[in-house]
Amino acid sequence: MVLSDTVLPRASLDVDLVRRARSGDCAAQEKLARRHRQSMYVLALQLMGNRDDALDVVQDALLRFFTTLHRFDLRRPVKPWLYQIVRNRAVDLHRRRKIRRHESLDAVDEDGRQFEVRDVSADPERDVARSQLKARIWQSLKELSPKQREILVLRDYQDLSYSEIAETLNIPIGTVMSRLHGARKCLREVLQDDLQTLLH
Amino acid sequence: MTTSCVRPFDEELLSGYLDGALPQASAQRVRIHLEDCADCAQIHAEMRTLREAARATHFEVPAEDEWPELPQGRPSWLSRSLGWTVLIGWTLAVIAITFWGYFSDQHDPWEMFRDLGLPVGLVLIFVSVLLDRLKDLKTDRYRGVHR
Repeated sequence: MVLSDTVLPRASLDVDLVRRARSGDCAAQEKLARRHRQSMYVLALQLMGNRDDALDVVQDALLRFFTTLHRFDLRRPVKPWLYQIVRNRAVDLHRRRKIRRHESLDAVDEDGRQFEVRDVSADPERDVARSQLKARIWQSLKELSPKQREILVLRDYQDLSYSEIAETLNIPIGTVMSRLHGARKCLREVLQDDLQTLLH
Repeated sequence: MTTSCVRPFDEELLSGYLDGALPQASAQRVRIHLEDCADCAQIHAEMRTLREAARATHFEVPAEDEWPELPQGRPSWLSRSLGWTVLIGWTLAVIAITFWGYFSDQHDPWEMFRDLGLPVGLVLIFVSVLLDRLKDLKTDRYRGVHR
């Protein structure tokens, strides 16, 4: 039985698609990938810092997702599981591409655009300092350690709860708050001048 | 604890408070502390500014036609496994028949090495790769992903 997107809540639709994909339904597999790959890409981009590596991570993660689908526990939500795979693939790729990691957050495309970050709500009257802060935060992520960067990305960019972060990183919830605070302190120190301009 | 804190205070609670992740009693204690401690209040305000800026950032995503072809899943895995099984079985059978043929007749050792050295060497290299892959499977970090 095929269930409609408009009838089911998102989580139930994912469960239905996973069941169908397990039985070899290629259309269900493709639909699952299309539903989640954009958010997976954004997470991968935030962890890797450049588009090419983010695409590689997502493709690897999707391959892992499909080949281990038969072992997935249907009682669990799909998204945190996918994020866990993306995060692990990003860690692996970081280890292999250490040099590229340090330069990637300044990457521009062939037209010279800084394409990773844009402000969709910008208008002429918006505070320029706040817009610049967003770009500075993105640039400053490379100053953090990989552990600090990933937890900051998961909380402040991906808006995962502490329990979801704990599950994704396979760490206790208490460690989430501690590590997150350390990352925020570090980022705050890096951006002290920008914060002074904005807040005082 | 910052230098201006009058009473001992776990600064990490500021992040928990910022994210609404504290129990009510702890959140109340943090709220009261922020009213009394200028340093902690500043740290909290700056962290909130950074968090809000990060949340408001939008990232460009690839258009639908920019995505590479979706990777195949279980069907290709099964096909690949079957292919390897047939290839390995065929290789072992050929080697066994070849060796049997050589040992049945009298052959010069140099002739044997000349004729069999390359295929035997390739097989040994293949076996080494296979053993490494099997070893990696046992320590695969993703074995626990579904749990």
